[in-house]
Amino acid sequence: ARTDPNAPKKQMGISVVLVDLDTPGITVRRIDLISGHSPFCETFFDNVRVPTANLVGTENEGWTIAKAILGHERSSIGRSIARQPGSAQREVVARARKHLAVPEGAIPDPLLRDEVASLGMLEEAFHLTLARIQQSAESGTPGPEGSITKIVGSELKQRRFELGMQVAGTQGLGWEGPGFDADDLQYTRDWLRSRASTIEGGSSEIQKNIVSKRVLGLPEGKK
Amino acid sequence: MTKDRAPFLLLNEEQKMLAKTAHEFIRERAPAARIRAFRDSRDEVGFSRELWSEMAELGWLGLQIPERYEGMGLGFFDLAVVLEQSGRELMPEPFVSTLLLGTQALLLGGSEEQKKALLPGVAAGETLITIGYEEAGSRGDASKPVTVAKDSSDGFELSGEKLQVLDGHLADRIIVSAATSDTGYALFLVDPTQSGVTVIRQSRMDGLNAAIVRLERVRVKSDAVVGGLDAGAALLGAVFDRASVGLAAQMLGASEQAFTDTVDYIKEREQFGVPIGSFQALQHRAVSVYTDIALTRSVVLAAARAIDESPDEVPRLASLSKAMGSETFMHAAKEAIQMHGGIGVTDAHDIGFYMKRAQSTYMTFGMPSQHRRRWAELHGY
Repeated sequence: ARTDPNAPKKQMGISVVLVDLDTPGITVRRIDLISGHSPFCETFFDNVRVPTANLVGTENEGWTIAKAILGHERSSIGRSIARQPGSAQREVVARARKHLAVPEGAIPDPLLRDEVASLGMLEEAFHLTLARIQQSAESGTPGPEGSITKIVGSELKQRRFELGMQVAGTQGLGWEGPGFDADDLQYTRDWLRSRASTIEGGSSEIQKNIVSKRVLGLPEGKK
Repeated sequence: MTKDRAPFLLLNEEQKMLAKTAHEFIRERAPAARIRAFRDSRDEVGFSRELWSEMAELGWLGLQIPERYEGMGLGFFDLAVVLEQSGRELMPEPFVSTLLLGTQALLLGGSEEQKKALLPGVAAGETLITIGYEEAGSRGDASKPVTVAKDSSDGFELSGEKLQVLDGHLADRIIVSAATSDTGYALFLVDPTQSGVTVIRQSRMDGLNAAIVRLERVRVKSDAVVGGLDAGAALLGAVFDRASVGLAAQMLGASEQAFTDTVDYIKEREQFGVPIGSFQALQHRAVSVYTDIALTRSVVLAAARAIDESPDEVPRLASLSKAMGSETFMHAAKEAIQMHGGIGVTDAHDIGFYMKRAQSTYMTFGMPSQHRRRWAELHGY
């Protein structure tokens, strides 16, 4: 919350306070996402009274805490995307086998197989890059590559779900009820959820701005 | 990464020093502009034998060759460090022919006599060895050579024609693939000064040197076979895997240099009163190239490490690094030309040589779609 409306910079004059949701004046309204899930909500505060003791950290220095929270969000998104090496490829191949009725051997559609292989290669390269970043951090000379993991990881996640949906064809169009199996219904929800991965925790565009400026040293443009 | 633990992907202190020394030496002595000079003067060699000898003296040509053949006895990973740097300036010296084709064929399949006779010369920068595998109509598929090896009294008689044999115009030995039966083929060491061998120099757009090698009833003894009879396919396949990784290391260096030059250019070049590098339309595309290069570096290092330490992993990592290295280099070269603008399509600027090399390396040792098909097969789909 803003505690100093006259602060010289907009990042200053912000404080973090702990609020009991049972306090009078609070209204919570759920936000439904395209996937049908609702992990977010809008919270309205109308003259809610909070004791001074609930201040977290120092007054007017909340931005530091907010940045730490956002940083945590970003890194936990990165970790959640990483999953097991090879799992994205295995998942898409398994879905292709199920929906195309090819229990074993080559995926008959060469274009589809090429796309799955592209995904598998990107996945392997991503995991090797994560390993390389970790090794260089452990060696005491971290390189600048850490900046690309969110960009690549979120793209990998989206491509995985896009391909998984593509192989399902019309069986991937279900929302609920008869005629669709539970796995496919869940997969469709997860595909919809994956659209957020290039937005949450700093969008890909913001990440690219950061790499452009800090890693490549390109000049800032007019805003 | 099928194993639980990732391979070690960093350079040790010696390798870092090697990379730095090679980078400085090559930038100073072997700039990409030499390709224009060799082309315009119709140089008969097409590269610098002096430079090749100097690199031999520095130990770079024998890095991976065992000490008993007068090499340094290090690994392919060390060679890859130098190859990456050689790629930065698109060096036309015979890295691919001699170090990646000829030497790997001998290391993987050569007899003790063959290795003793030829590898010390390679390490010393005196002997050039190449492989002829491309034929009219083979289109990147070396598995069915039309060139034949007929049994003769004390050996074989080779007849056929190989195209675009890298450094074939100067090679001391040319290893050729030739059918030994309806289904199998073998590799044969041929001395091009033998009777029946005709070598015709070819001119390629990319600054690498090549030749047509015509064989008319060329007689070789049975000790000319590299590897076993009918075992040519397995051996050549293993050689191509290593060569793919080495070429990918060169492509990585070339991508890196083309990208660095481009970023430098868009910081300087002004339009509408500001550097064009301040435009977000270019910035995000530059980051995309940067990202591709970072990913490619990881896979090239992993593949080079696998050649030394985990041979079972080599086929899939070789295909991964060749496919990704090719796509990244092509991407970097296309964006380099576009971001350089009009000057980028003039012969006066060196950046065009990167585009030409990107195309030639893309097509060499299998293009990306072929490697993706193989990757799928190796993963059971």
